Amino acid sequence: MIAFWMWFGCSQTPALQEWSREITTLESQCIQESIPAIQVTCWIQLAARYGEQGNEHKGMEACANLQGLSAHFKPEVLQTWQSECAFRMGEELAASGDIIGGLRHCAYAGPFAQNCITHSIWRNPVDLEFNSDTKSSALWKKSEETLHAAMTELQPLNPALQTDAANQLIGQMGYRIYFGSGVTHPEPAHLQDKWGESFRTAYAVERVRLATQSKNRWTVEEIQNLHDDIVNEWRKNKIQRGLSNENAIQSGRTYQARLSPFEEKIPQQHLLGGGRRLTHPDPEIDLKISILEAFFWYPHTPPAWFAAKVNHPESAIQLTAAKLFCLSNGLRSSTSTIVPPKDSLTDAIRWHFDTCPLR
Amino acid sequence: MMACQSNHSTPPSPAEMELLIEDPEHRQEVLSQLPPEQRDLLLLQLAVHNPIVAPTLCGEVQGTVAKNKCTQVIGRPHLQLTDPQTVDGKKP
Repeated sequence: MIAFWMWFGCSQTPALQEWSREITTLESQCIQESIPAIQVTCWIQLAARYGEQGNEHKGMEACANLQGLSAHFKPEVLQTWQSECAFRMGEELAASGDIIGGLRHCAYAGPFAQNCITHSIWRNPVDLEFNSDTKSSALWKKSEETLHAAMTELQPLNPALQTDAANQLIGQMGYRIYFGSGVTHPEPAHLQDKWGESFRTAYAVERVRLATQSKNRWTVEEIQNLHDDIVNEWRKNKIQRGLSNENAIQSGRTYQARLSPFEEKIPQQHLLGGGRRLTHPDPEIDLKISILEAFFWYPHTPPAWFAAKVNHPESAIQLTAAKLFCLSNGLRSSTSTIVPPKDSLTDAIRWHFDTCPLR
Repeated sequence: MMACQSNHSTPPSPAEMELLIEDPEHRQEVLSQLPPEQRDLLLLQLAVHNPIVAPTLCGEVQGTVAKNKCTQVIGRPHLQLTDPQTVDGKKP
C-alpha cells in the first residue's frame, strides 16, 4: 500500500490526456501511455476509430495490443475489455458500411455479442448502390447473399443469438433499400417471402415519409385517404419519388417491442428502433399492416385512426391497431371513448389495452 | 518529493485496486485526499479494473477529460451486466 500512496501522492504522476481525433496521433498516445488501465481504453478507442474508417486490419491490431497488458490485469477483466474492443470495432465497421466485417467481430464480443449485433445491424447505413429502382430479382439475390455471409461470420455464436441476428438482418434489409432513399418503387414490396415482408415494411414507411413532408396536421379522413392511395399505388406498381434524407429516422417515432403472449405463434418482423410487427402470408394484408406501422412512425397521425382499425375484419390488423393505439397515447386521450366496449374485445386485443404502458 | 524519486513509484496493482473497490469508505477517504485530476485518474483506473462497476465510478469523475473517456469507452452501460444479454428476455 505504501508504493500506491507514493505514486498517487507524487506530483509527477502522469496527467490525463484528451484523445486525439487524428488517428496517427491517437496511436502515438496509446503507445506512449504509461498507465496500463488508461492504455487499455486507448487501444479500444483506437480500434473504434479504425472501425469508423472501415480499416478492419488496423482495428484488429489495436485490439490485439490488449493481450500485451495481461500482466497488469486479472484474466477475466482483460477478457471483458477484449470483448468490448471487438464490440466497439464491430459496430463502427458496420456503421461505416461494412456490415459483414462488423458482425465478424461481434462474434468475438463475448457477453456483449447481442448488443454488438443489434448496434451493427441497425447502424448500417442506407445502401448507396441499391435502391428500389433495382430489379427485384437483383435485390432478392443481394439480400440472400448478405444474409448468408452474415450467418457464416456468426457461426461461433449460440443458435439463439444466430437466429435473432438473422431476424434482425432480414428486418433491416428493407430499410437499407428504401428508407430515406427518396425512391418508392413498389415492385420489390410484392415479393412473397421474408424479403417481401421486409421491403413492404420499408416501402410503407418511406412512402409515408415522402407524403407527409410538407404538412403537419392530418385528419383521420386524410390519413385514411393516404392509406388508400398507397395501397392503390402498390397494386398498380406506381413509383413515387421525393427528397432523400440520410437522417430519416430522426423525423419519426419508434417503439420497443410489445411481446404479447397471444401473438407468440404469429410470425413477426423486427422494426427500426426495436419494435416488431406482425406479418401475414397475403402480401396485401401484410402491406396494410406495414402501412399501420408506418403511420405510427409518422408522429402526427391522430390516434383515432388506429382506434377505427380495431374493428377491421382481419385479426392481424386489429392487433396491430390496438398496439399502435396504445403506443400513440390513445388510451389517455379523449379518443379512448372510440374503442369498442371492453367486453366486446377479444383477450388478445384486451391485452394491448390492459398492459399498455401509456394508460 | 522522495516518492517521485523512488523506484517504488509504480501504478497501483490489481490487488490494491481490489481493496479500494471492496471498501467504499476507504476509497472515499483516499479519493478525498487527492487533487481533482489525480482523483479522476484513480477512479478511471478502478473502473477499468472493475468493469461491472465502471459506469458507477464514471458517475463520480469531475473533469472533462475523464468524463470523455467514460463516454467513449469506460462507462458504457452494458459493462454493468454480469451475464450475457438475452434475446427477448430469454437466456441464449
